[in-house]
Amino acid sequence: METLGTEISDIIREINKLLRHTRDLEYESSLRKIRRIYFALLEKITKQEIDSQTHEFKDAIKSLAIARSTIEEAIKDITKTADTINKLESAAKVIDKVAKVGVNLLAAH
Amino acid sequence: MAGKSIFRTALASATLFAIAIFWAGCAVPLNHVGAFSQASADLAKQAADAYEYVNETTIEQHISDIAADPNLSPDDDTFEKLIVDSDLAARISLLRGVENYAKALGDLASADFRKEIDAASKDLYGSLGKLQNTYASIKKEPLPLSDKDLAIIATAIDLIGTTIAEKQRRAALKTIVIQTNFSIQNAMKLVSSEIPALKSLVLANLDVIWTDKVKAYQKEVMGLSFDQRVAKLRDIRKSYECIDIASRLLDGIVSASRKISDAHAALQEAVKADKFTTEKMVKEIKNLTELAKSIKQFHDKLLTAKE
Repeated sequence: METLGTEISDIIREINKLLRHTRDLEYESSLRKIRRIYFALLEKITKQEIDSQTHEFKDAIKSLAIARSTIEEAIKDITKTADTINKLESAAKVIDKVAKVGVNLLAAH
Repeated sequence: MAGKSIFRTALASATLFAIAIFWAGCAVPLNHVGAFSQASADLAKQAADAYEYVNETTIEQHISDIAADPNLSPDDDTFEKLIVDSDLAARISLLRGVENYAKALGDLASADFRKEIDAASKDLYGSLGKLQNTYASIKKEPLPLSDKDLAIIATAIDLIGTTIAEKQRRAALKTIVIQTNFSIQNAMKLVSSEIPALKSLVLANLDVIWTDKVKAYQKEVMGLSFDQRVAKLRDIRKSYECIDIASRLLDGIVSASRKISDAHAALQEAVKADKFTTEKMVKEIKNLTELAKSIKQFHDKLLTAKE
């Protein structure tokens, strides 16, 4: 519960960093949407106990690490933001296998 | 004549000395129970408030997100508390139980009249009942505080009598502390293990609030006067500082949960040896009191930063 929650919280804060950095309205809108998805995941995870020994859990942690490194790259080079958003969406789907917010997670936001 | 006067003075001094010894023997050690009670009740309240704070920052984050996007509008979920009708809601109740238990223990230690004892014991049973029920609902297992244990406590309190016999009062306090120690340890362990996860959520919520204020500032800055910019930036600064204060506050709550456990364990160790004060107990209560003051400061800072 703590590890995955902390990781998602850190990713949200990284998304915020990129959001503060960018002035592109389209990127801003996409970043807000993906941030909303991560909040849905975080709120769900906070309310339940998660088994940290499953493959799904380990995959979620790995995906978050990849997404995080792409955010850092996008902060340095804003043209990489679109790629970062794609990576964040992919990671959200992997995390949802643990959090189980819903299959239409990305469509709903 | 002079000899009689000296004898009277000596007798009066001896009587005063005996009274002083009597009070030192009875009142001062029980004052330590009172100090434990006060600090523990304060800290348990702060911990329960921290759970409420999770709700508050979650709603504030929803509000900020909607305000930042003109295409969004609030719906039923926007203002819904995160911790409601869930296991987390039971934690608030559990901590209120610990808070009331600590208060009732202090009231029993300081009560001067039977009716005060009766009121304190009523609060005590209420708080222990709350501890039993909420712990069982959270952990899906009963708290190690049976109805038989509650009956033992009730008998001990009855024996204090109508004229408050100090010996029986101490015996009752001893019984209560021993019977409830394991429950207090378990309850506080649960809280200290969970707060870090809630801290992650609170920090993310607060980070969104200050980020959205920065984004709003970036969009409107060209149309603002110097004074308006300064006012906006001061507001952003307050939101930014809230993140660090909340982080310290929640770390303090984790420490507080552990300190309440340690202080109650020291109290139990002391009363088992029929002592109401020991060096270890005084040290633990001192730690607890200092922590309560420090957490209150963070809490006050957080309130100021929100204004």
